[in-house]
Amino acid sequence: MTRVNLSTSNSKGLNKLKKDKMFHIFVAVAKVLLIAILFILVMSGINRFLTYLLVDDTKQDDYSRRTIYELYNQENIDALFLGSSHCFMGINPAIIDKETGKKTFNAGTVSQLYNGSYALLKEADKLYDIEEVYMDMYYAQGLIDDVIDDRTYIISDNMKPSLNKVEYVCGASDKESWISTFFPARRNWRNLFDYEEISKITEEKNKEEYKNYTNLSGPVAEYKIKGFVGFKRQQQPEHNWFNEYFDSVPENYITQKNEKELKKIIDYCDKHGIKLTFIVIPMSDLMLSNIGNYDYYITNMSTYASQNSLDFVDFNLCSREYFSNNDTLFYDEGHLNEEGANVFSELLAEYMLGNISKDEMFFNSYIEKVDVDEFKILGYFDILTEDESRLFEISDNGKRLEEYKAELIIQDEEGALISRSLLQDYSDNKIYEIPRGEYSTLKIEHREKGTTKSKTIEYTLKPRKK
Amino acid sequence: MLFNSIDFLLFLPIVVIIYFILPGKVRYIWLLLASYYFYMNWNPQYAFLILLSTVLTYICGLALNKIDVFQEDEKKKIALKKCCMSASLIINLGILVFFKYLNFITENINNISSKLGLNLNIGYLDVLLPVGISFYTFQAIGYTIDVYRGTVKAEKNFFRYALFVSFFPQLVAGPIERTLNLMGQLSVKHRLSFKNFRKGVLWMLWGYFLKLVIADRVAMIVDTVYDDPQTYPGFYIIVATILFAIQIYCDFNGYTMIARGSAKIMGINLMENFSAPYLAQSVSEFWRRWHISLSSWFKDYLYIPLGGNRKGKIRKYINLLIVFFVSGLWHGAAWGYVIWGGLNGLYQVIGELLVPLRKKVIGVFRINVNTFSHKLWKTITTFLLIDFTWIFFRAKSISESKIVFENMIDGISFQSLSSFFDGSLYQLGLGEREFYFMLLTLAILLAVDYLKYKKVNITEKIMNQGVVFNLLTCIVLFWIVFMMGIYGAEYDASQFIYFQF
Repeated sequence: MTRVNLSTSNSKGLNKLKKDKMFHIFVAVAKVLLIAILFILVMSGINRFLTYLLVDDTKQDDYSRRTIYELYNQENIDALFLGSSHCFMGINPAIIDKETGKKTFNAGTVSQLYNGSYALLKEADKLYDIEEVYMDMYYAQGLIDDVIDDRTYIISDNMKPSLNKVEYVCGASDKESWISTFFPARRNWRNLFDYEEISKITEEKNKEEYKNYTNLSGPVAEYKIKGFVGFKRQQQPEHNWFNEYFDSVPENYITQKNEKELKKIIDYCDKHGIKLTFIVIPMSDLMLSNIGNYDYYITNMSTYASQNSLDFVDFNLCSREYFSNNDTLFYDEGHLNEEGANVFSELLAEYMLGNISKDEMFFNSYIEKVDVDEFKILGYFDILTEDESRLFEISDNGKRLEEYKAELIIQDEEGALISRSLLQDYSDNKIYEIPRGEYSTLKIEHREKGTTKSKTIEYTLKPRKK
Repeated sequence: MLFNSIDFLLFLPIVVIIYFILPGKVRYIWLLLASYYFYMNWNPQYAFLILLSTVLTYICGLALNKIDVFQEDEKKKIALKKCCMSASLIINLGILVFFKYLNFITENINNISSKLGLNLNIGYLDVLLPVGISFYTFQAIGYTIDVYRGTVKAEKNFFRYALFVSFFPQLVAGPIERTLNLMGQLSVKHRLSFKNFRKGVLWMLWGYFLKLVIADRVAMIVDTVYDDPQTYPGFYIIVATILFAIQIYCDFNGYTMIARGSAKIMGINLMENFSAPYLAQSVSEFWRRWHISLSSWFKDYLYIPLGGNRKGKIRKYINLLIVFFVSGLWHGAAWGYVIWGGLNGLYQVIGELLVPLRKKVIGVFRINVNTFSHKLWKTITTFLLIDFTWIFFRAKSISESKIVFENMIDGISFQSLSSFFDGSLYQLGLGEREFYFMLLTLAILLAVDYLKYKKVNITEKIMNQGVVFNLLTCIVLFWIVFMMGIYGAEYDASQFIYFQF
């Protein structure tokens, strides 16, 4: 008779049960994990495919796609430029590299907000030994913080997957926008119904120029090098103009959220031994004078910079001997064209080399700078009002009492004369109502009050739609 | 937090992971905490109300059991039990009436008094309607009645009972669970099951498909037309009303599927709430397939106690009308809902009254009731009858319903029919191609519901195909929802329709 040790067999049985249970749990968990991994891989593949089909980043002005691609593919970057369109239109790294011997990179993107600057700084710093950062502090950039649009997407869409990207997207957009921001295909889901659009996108993406990032050249602008985009022409030769008045600098010149983002950049640079400098790239006098209180911004930003032991260099205060601010250097009221960028880049290079004496070359305020100017017509505003009229306003620098005579010539598209009328004889009024839907020329004669010697400028105006 | 929000998509995995990590004995505590957190996301003050309802019905349940055990005198026992249950009913329903119906009652008193020349002008209270109050109140009352009847024993563990009342997947929009089904499951330790996980995910994805891809898409057309019936009269209103029927079905069923899926992942089975209702061949069949948890609740806790069909035909019809009027009122504090409910009751009464006539007609004309055409005729007729009542539901007030009706009738003509097909349908919020996509999704819905109507268990069919097929199904569903769903910052966050009840 075989004796069975019950307690041993019971405990063996219990152990077996425990092992079975553990095995069961292990199998269930392993299955879930395996499915999850497979799921993620398949999803990633489908996401890439849909992005390829639906996301149109093939346009000639999708510069940021190349900028960020090149950001990841440099030998090294010693000095990084960050900022919005003022930056990528205003700084030519090729000139700076040549003058300073450093390797620089222009990581400006359209309407780049400070959180975008922070994200790009961290991306670049992961890969390169960045020693200096120059941030363009365009005065209005600190006022915008609650938009989720292309300015966010052009950075997030082109960043490589990383925790930095997650942090950027989660910070830059609210929860309801996370999915759209992380997945550009989702943003463009409506293209699924537009076979022509899909066909066009895929055709463009199969071209060599797109694959080589060389499709970024057009009649207006061309991607040059290392993030710099050269804009070829001015809006109007020797006439600077804009169709909105510029907002003055508000009392809170920077929002709380932007201040926090800026602080992150400052702290990051401090922690990583990066020299951070705030700069402002030159803008047209038309814009600066129309803002009205630009010096308020200068004073506050200077104070903020010095509180954080940073340099702040506003090149709008630079003497005209070193930067003329001529209209020929601008693409529009606030952005340099390629020629202006090259001139400015040489100046910036001198600053980076320490060859610039702020005391000698810079005024303390914009008012001080304008004070030594001679009389100048800065440009004009072409405003469409709500009551359907169109107003043309001349902007001068107010250095003398000027009077204006205005004659309106209405023409057809070929320039043939239709009618002519005197809008006003000499007076100090500078605002004229002109036809909205017609080709016209506004002939302005202006002279210093009390004198007879006048100058004439002709402004050729195209019809403006609502 | 809405089911179709990032918050919920983050909340659920965390709850599920911790649920399975914790020992079985304390899992219900974790679920209770998670449920209250879920509920308080709407408004932290709501927690006091649900807690009050929970405490009252818990105490009532225990008291009923104690009376059963200790009271030997049968008459006294019955009287005491009735007293106890009545107190619980009065207080719970009182809370519901206060928050949901007080201003409605006040408005009607003011209207009546004004017509009588009394001009009482009673002031309105500024009270926020707690989300889900109609659901959890009924669930708690159902428990009380079950204990009273002796169907179940009172739950002694307060926290387990509190979880029964507040279980987050079904808290704000049902299904209204029964004690027998849910309570027991909360006491059992559920193992992490891959099969449950797959099923749960599949149900959730289907729910999101119904809600985000169909319901919220269709809602664009419905809202465009119903917001401006004068501009979109006639056939537009007809189309919008048909689409509203789809919207409310997909919205509510979508929610239910997400709720059932969430619970299934944790091994908990919530009852089915819809069973291809629009394929019903009569209004009474429709109500056996639509919002099953509510209609069965009313059947068990109102219709049967009123006498059901045991006290003669007249009484049966009266009971039916009462149940449906109350059901209408349950949905909202407005006469539109009452009329909606009443109409559904009336249909059933008339349906029953017409049975002999129908049989005669079938006999005289020798109609074969088993043909596809006959069944289709019955299905379409039922749908149109139900759809008509949805006008009162969507319009939300009698005067709005009247405007919709007037514009619908006035706008119908042969000329308007032709202009209806000139592409103007694509101007109602969806472009042409998206409109066709919508039709495609409706075809998918119809196919799935048809299979369901034929008692084909689609879930089991998919599950039996193996893991790879499951995965592919989930991937396809996911991408359809992800890409074609109506959600995100560009849209107003679309709440589930039944949350407002």
